[in-house]
Formats: sequence, C-alpha cells, structure tokens
Amino acid sequence: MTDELLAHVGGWGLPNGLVSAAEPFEVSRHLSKVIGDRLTGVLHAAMVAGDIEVDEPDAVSHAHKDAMAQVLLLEDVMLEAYESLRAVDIEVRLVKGSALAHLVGNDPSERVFGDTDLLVRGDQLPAAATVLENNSAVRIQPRVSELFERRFAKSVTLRWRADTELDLHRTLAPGPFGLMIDSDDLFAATNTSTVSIGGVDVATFGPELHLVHAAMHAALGDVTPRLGNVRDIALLLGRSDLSNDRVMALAAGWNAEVPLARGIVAATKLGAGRSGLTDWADQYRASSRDRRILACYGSREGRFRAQAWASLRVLPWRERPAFVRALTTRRGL
Amino acid sequence: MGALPLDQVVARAAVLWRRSGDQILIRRRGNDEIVVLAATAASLWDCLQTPRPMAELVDELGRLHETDPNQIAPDVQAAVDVLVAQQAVTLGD
Repeated sequence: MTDELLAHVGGWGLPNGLVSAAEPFEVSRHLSKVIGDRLTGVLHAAMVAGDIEVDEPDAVSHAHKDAMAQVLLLEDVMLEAYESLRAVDIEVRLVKGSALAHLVGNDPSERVFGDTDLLVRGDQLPAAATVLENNSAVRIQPRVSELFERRFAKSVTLRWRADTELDLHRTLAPGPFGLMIDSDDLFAATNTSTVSIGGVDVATFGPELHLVHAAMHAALGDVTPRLGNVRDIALLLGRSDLSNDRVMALAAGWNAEVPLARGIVAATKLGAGRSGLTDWADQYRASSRDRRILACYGSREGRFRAQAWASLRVLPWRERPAFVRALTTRRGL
Repeated sequence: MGALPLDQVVARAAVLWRRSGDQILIRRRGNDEIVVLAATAASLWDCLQTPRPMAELVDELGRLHETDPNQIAPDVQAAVDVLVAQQAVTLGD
C-alpha cells in the first residue's frame, strides 16, 4: 500500500489530513494493511461519509462489523478485570484503546483496538496478576522475578477470556524511558478522569497524560508505529480542554521530551492541527544523551537486552544492584 | 393507536454497543451473543438512549421516519419487547 493512501485514511477528518489520494482503495491490496494499522473504523467512517471510494464496500463493512464485535468482547473482558481488581482495592487506570475510543474522535466505532490495557501501581502489579490468574488468566511469558515486576517491568501480559490479551501495565514504556516515569504522577488526582463504559465509571487518565502516553507508545513501541496510534496523538492535540503546560510539565518531569516531540511530529505529518505543542515539537532537538537512550528502541533484535543495559544507565545508583538482582534472579542478561 | 404502557423505556447502561454503518451491535455483559439491530431498529436504539414513555418513543420514531405513529406502534412495541427479553432495555417508572 502506498504511504499516501494509508496517510489519506489515517488523516481522514483531521484538520490538515490529506484530502485525497491519487490511488484508488482496492480491498484486495489495501485492506489488510489498514486492519494492521488499526484504521478499519476510520476507513469505514470515511467510506460511509463518501470521502473515500472503495471498490468492495461490503468487504470493508464486514471487516468493520467483525472489529466492532471484537472490541465489544474486549470491553466486556476489561470490565470484568477492572471490577475484579477494584474489589480487592487495587487501584486501576484504563489506558490506550478502549479509553481513547470513548474519549477522542467522533464516535467510538472509529477506534479499533486489539487488546485490553490496564495500569496498576508497581507494588500492586504481582497481586493484580495473581487476582486474574486465580480467575483462569494465564501469563504468556514466565515471570522474570517478582522484584522485577514490582519495580522495573513495563507490564505483565495475560491471556484470558475467549483467548483475548490483557496487559497489566506498571509504567507507560519499556526500558529506560519507562523507568524515568514517576508512578505517583500516573495516579495523581489531577491526572485522572473517568469514562463510562457499560454503565461503569472507569478511571482513566486526563487528556494530557493520554497524550504523553500515546506519543511514547508511538515513538518507543513498535519500530514503525501503527498509524492508528499516531492518529490518537493528532486527535488528543485537537482537544479543547488540553493544557499544553501540563503536557510539557509531565514530559519534562520524566525526561520524556524526545518521545513526546517525535510522537507529535508524526501526528503533524498525518494531519494534526497546528498548536503551540506542534511548533515546540518541530523545533525540538534531542540531546546526545537522549539519542543514546533512544538507540535501544531502534531495532527489533535484542531489544530486551539493549533496553536492560540502557536502563541501568538511567537508574539512580542505589537502584542498580536491585535491577541486576531482579533480572538475574531467574534468568541472566 | 391502542393504549401503550406508561412506563419509561430506556436502553440499559450495562450494555456494550457500537454502531457499524446503519447497524447497531449490542453485547450484554458476560454474554457472548451479539445482537444486531439493522436500519429502523438502529434508530429505535438511538431513541432508547433517552428514557421516555412508549407513546413518546413511538411518536419520535414516527416523526423520524415520516410515518403515522399508529401504524408503527405494534412493531415498535414488539421490538422493545424483544430488547427487554434480551435485557438490553428496561421498563420502569
């Protein structure tokens, strides 16, 4: 699929999104890529609005209906997990897909997601995983060590109801950038809001924290970010209740200006409206230290090892022995 | 139009749903079945997001579809009965 056609779909409805693409949308050639980039909902909405011509509209409608059935399953699973954790006083925040589906964009049906993401406090992460494991969830990878999970891991991934995937996050990014996040910020009342899903008021982030998270996910997650994730950043940038000062304060406090800037630049290219934040991101230049840290996110091969070494460099000296001990309790670096 | 129940009718909050084109997909929590409402039934679902008596619901759908409310009342009542049986809609004061 050409970048232009994909950008046309991903930027649909954004203030500066590509208005048209030279190439027509052919289902047999392009739909799988759109599904992979989590843009099925956007493509369907654009097609229904008459803004994108598709050669097999029924195939797109079917794909969208399947995706909606899947997100309903995931929200059902999410609510069961959320209520199970809250019942034992584990503090939880709903993050990423389901939360963003309800908070940004024109309609939740435009946002497709493929798993459930819940954030818990590090000291409660092992207990949270145990609650779900006692309810038939299964870890997809063996635990490195309880100490690693509690203090250093990004998340624990579980396989649960109907073979769905549920990520219990401790922080917002793997490796060094995740370790520089102050977890108290993630649960501060000023950074919290609620979203009503299935009659339940689910705790989630405020728009500033969602934006920083989305940018970190786009910049530090997959080597090539999904355009659906980049679109989240663009939509969050367009929210009228977004405080640029709060966004910058969060990023500065966590040394996360580089991933924030990279995420915002990607969103600008997709069609985000101009703002003080997009101007800042355009002008931001990474320091040599930032570039060294970023290097461990640049390749799929050996990521865990590279991020472990890079993590050592950003941890305070007093934390380093515990980090090495946590990693070597079960398996070595 | 015959006498319609005076109870308020409204979509249950504890129901998960999404729109897909002119269809609505509904999933009751803890239940694997997806109920699909098409075309006019989807507009019924939209109207059910606000609590109202059956007569008012029928009037609103008649206005939306430019149809005599007396003609559609039995169909609306039947559709609401199905949704109540599926625990997607509640009747109350």
